[in-house]
Amino acid sequence: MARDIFADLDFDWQSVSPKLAMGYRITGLPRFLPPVIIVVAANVILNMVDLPELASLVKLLAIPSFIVALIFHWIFAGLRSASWGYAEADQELVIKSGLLVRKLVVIPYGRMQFVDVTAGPIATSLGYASVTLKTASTETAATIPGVPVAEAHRLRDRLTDLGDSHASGI
Amino acid sequence: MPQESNHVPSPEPSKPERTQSAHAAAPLVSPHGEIPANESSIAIGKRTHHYTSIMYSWTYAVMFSIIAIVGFITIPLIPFAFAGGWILGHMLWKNFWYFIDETEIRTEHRLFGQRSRRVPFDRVEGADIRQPMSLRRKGLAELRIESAGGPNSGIKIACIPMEEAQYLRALVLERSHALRAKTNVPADSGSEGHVSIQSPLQGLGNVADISAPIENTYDDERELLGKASNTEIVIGNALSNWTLGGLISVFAALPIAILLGVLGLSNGDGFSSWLTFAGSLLLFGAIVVPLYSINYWNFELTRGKQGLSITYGLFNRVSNTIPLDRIQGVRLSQPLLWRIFGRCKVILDVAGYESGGESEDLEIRLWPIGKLDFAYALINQVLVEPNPDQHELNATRGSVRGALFAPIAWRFAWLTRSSNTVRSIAGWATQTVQIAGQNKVQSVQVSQGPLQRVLGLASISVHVPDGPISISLNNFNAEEAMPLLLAEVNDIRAASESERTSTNPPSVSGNRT
Repeated sequence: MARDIFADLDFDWQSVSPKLAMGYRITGLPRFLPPVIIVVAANVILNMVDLPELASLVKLLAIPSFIVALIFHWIFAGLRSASWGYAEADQELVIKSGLLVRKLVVIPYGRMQFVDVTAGPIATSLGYASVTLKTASTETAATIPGVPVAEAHRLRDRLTDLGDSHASGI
Repeated sequence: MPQESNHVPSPEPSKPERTQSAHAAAPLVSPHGEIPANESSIAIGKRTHHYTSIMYSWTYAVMFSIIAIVGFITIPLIPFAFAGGWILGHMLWKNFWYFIDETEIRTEHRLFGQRSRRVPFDRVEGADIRQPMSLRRKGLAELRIESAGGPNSGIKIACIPMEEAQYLRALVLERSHALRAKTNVPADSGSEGHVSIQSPLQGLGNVADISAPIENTYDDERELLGKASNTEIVIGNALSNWTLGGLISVFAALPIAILLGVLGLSNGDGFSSWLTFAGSLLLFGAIVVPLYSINYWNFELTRGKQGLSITYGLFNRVSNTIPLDRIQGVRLSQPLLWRIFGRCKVILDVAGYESGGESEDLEIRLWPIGKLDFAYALINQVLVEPNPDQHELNATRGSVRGALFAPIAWRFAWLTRSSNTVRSIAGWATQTVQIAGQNKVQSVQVSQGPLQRVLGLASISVHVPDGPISISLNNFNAEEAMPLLLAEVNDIRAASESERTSTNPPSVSGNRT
């Protein structure tokens, strides 16, 4: 794999809360539900139509693949959360993200329209929030998930201050 | 930002000025003490022209009749449908007011609950007057104030006399300009907020002037930048890519059909259905599309102290007035057949005017069809580019390896920059050049997908406020990505810096939402 194109950027990168990984692990779990339901249903039906050999074969195949999938899910959630980084440069907020699709977005503070801090129930219980900087363009994808709550509030206040002192361009 | 709220208007909320006709010279009373009660302060709610009720009545009467016929299959219900439509139309007119004071324009609907929408003057993006055929006979017009904040965020006042619409437009634009200038100009500049426009409403009769023009008559410094030729508009529309597709289909099919016929392999059925397809393409391209030319009929572009004024339309006359500093960018496009004749069209990107938001909304054209160098000269009036050479020096193009994703288009993809503007060039069937001011760029994003990483490619997009323009370059050499990003960020910094220090940047506090 080629090297990271963002590696050369000399910023004071901040990483997000490691608890975000746990958040990803929990919020990603529901996607396992449909296959589990299918396998269980298949098992029940196969037993009903008196094909216990097939049923145990399905079990034999399904259980290890679920375990493998869970392990991958676990690892990738960690990598995904570790891929987030943000830096407060002199005049811009810089956010990088993504495991497969790498993204880097640069937003001048002056373009800020408002800053949102949001946290769902899982995020609240894990003690982090996501900070979103909105500009006049809805294309601007400036969300940093998994910022520890205290840091999120500091970041919001700082971005608002910087936004006001740099405001222009709308 | 316009706000829907239950906000109660300050001057006697429950009963705004109940003058029966909107154009009777209303006594001008200030809602707050500090606003001088001069002619230009219309702080009292006004109703639109009573013709509004007739217009609405017809619409609803017809609608109810259709419901009666289709829904209940009873013709005898039609008189009731008409009566219902009539009452509803009348009530809608009776329960709508508009207000203009020193800081905002506001509308109030009181039927079925209260709805109020306000557009602060510093958020005004442009002001349009429209005059459909039905209103022209009466000398009436519809006024629209566009505001930043997406489609349908503006204010629409249907059916007021043309002279009043003209006056209100001039008033809104002048106050908007004064307010935006005031927030940045030192306080001792004296003339801030001063409004020089005189109301025509004093002594206006009960009948509107049918001959009142739609052009921005209040802007006395207007100079004509150009009038487009109707013939060119029709021919241009006839030479769209639809026509080209039809032509290609016909000419590609002929030799194949002859060959198959000679060889005795075909009885001609397939050929005739293919011809039907090609023929309908041609018919659509050469006959139907040109019919839309009437939308941009008698196109005229002027520039004055209030900004650009654009007037067009045959049956439905439209006059847009857009302050120059509200223009985010432009898009110049050339369909394949237009390129042969060296023609192009130019579309304006103004926040608030979103094409496709409402079906009746047309894209705001800076120029409907014309020669390339004329178009660039016009663009230069709107987005001043003192250093066109920089675009040739700072050009990044799509990489050959991008051919995997876009076999033809990669050849035509460019992103070029100068300290004032950023351009993207793209497309082969219709070539488009999109230009935005560096001072309007909101953010820059570089991305790289897994396949791009293997191929050593990257994509960049330069985000401008939502509108018809989107500037990006896909699949260029990844090694150029970071230098390009940093250079672009530097340009944005410089542009914002010079905007902040210039005399008339956009308002600081008013931009917050």
